[in-house]
Amino acid sequence: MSKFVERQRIGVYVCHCGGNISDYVDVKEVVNAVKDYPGVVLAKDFIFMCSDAGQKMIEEDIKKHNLDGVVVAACSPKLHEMTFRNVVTRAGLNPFLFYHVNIREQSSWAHRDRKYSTKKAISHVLAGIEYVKLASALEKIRMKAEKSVLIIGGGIAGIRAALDLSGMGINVVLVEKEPFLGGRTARIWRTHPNGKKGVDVVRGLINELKERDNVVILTNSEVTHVEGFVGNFKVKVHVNPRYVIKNHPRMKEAIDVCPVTVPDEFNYGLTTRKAIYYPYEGAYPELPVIDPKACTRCGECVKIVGDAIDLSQKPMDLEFKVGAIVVTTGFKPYEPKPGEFGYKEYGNVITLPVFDRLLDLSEGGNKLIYNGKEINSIAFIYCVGSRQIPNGSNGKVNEYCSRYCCNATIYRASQLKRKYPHIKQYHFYRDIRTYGLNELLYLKAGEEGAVFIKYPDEEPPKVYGEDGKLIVESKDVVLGGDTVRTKVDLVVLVVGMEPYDTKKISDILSISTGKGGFLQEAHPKLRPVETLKSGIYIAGTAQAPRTISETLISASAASAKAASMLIKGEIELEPRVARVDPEKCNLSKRCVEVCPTGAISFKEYEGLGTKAWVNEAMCIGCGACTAVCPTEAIQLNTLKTTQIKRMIEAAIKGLER
Amino acid sequence: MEIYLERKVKRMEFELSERIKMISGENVFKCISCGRCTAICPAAPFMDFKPHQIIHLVRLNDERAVESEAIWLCTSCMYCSERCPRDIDVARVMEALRAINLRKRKDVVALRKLKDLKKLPPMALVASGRKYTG
Ligand SMILES: Cc1cc2nc3c(=O)[nH]c(=O)nc-3n(C[C@H](O)[C@H](O)[C@H](O)COP(=O)(O)OP(=O)(O)OC[C@H]3O[C@@H](n4cnc5c(N)ncnc54)[C@H](O)[C@@H]3O)c2cc1C
Ligand code: SF4
Ligand code: SF4
Ligand code: SF4
Repeated sequence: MSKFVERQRIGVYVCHCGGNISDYVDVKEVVNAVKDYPGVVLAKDFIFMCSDAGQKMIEEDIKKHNLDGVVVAACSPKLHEMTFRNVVTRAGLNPFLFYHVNIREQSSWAHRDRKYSTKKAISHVLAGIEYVKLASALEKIRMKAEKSVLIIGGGIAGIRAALDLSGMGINVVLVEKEPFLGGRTARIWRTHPNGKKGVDVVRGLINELKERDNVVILTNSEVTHVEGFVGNFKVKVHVNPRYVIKNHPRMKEAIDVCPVTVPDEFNYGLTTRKAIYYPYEGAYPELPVIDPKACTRCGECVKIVGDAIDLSQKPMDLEFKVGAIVVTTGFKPYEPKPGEFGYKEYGNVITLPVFDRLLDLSEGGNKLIYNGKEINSIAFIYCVGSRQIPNGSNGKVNEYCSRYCCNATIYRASQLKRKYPHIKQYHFYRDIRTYGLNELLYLKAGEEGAVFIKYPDEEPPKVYGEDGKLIVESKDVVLGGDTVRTKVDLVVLVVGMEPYDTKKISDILSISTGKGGFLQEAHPKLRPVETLKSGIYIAGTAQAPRTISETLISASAASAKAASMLIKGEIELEPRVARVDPEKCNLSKRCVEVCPTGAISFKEYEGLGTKAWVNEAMCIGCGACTAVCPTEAIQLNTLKTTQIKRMIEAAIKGLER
Repeated sequence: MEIYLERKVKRMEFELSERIKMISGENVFKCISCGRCTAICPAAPFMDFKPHQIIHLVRLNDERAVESEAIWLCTSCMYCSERCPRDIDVARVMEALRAINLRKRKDVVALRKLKDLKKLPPMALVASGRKYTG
């Protein structure tokens, strides 16, 4: 390595920020204090450094005075660091030979005493100059990236993401745990706001997906292991056997002949299915599956379709590489505890998802029948399993609003009215949250005669039986707390959404879960579909309760993000990473222990033997390793230990002036 | 107090909400219980059921709306109707509830029996005349 030469031709620029800085910092004095500092060749102030004129000035100075480093003292680097980095680059200087000092938030906005804030600004600028003196010219890190994406979860979010990515020319592997695609959307009776059946919504997208030749769909499969980093993830997938190998003209007969009948989970047990089955008309893949738990291996089906079924099929373990991962593992509906609002205690208390299946299965007739009884009145109880209030004794509760349920239930109110006008509806709610355009659904449902009764937050309705009748009793907020009692044929619990196995998937991927247990984004506003792990994106209800359209929006957003990273076939990363000087490394291995991303491993260096090595794609530049290294062998490219020491010394000198 | 939502009303062929609709043409189910009618109502502080509660009672088919004092305290100023964001003519519903009573020949104001007629605010006289004469 050549001997490092300190930068000796530094330009310092102090911004007034139109008074934001100059009102409380004497910018002239800052300029005077640093202009003769060793290494500085010029120092200037200007009213708006970020303006075209300010930028031009810096650019011209760099060329004219042959500057080899630049310090700008101005607002927050969040706002304009990139602006000035670009200025420096345009002038032909390496952008990392520039340092942005924040004297607005740190000095002028923080102190009333003009003298003190001026002094503090000077001290920070001096530190900035010392930084630049020792700064190295750096290039962005470029790495080859696999142009393929793994999508985990084949609900509507996963299907949408698969379509979007494949459309951009990126290969997709879609992994679904269940034997069929579609997730929860496929089970919806009629989706708000346009009344399309859930299956049809899903089917529409799947028909498009079938046309794509760059999508691999693995059903009955789970991701078991992921390692690597953005652009180069190594993935292991366990594929459970389907036992049905291919289609056969007599497949329907084979299903009919199966002697085993079990409750059909797709319909929450409202119907039954065989051990060999399709969950619903139009399910995809268009190949039935054999449920190994129900199947008795009697072989009746094989007698009909022969080698289309292989009862001895074994599971498979696949291994492949992808450049990015989109997680769309969805939600699960809240399951009320036995006795909660009479659930499991009275036969005619059911949850909204079950009610939806009932409505779908009853499409043909004009009577709604449940448990052999005609339904003429229904009470809906809202916010079951959502917006729960912790009271010290009820353990972990779901404090969030599930978002979809007011909309879904109120939309069903209108649909019910149309299909079964004779059914009376009572809606016991806490607050109606039909946000946005959905408010119109609420107004419509009311106009059509649905009765809305507001119950107090702390006192939800009670459900009990009396003389064989189901009674809902509730306080009525509008009537100042009078009790309202109504007899109904059916109680529908409007259950919320809960995270679905997010613990497991977040462990496999080393990403985090947030408050309600859903997967967490890097930043709710600035990076809403990214995780803190570069190259891993989240979408749909795995991230938060959402309606279908919101789910689709996030899925498309995550796809666009993943694609923009991979589409060039190589990725660019900031060089803000740690590097090892193998000559100094004494193999203490402490860095390996503290690295939060597991970026440090060991490799053979020529003539030096085994020493620590940083995988730059995984390093997030946190600096934890530099703090523990006993020999200062591992250093951040952009903030070396010597730099920090010199900055502190200069800053103290500035304050002592 | 308890309300039975499906309490059958004797000798009544239709539920209260339907009768109100027939008399006034107003659909009380449109109400979103915002309470604006009550907020503007000058008589609300003296009422047993506030205007928004009256609307809710009608929606629940609760006869207490018909029996309430509130409907007689209503001054027919029509402020509520003016303010309702759901375009419910609340004053008209009040009137319909009074009509149900008047059709049963309940109470009529005898102007002749009123003392110090001149001291009464003219608005009160107009309002009561409007209300107690069917
Ligand atoms: C009763 C009810 C009615 C509704 N009505 C409406 C409506 O009318 N309109 C509307 O907009 N929204 C409605 N919703 C909301 C709608 O269901 C959701 O917004 C939508 O289904 C979310 O899609 P998703 O892909 O995020 O999740 P899901 O549909 O849950 O799909 C996730 C998929 O991932 C799979 N998976 C999970 N874990 C793994 C794993 N580890 N590996 C591989 N695969 C995995 C699951 O098996 C599933 O197939 C309703 C919801 C319910 C419960
Ligand atoms: S082998 Fe299994 S699937 Fe086939 S008929 Fe028998 S029970 Fe049914
Ligand atoms: S959407 Fe409505 S029912 Fe669902 S949790 Fe929120 S407020 Fe409750
Ligand atoms: S103003 Fe209209 S919508 Fe609001 S409470 Fe009164 S009647 Fe109902």
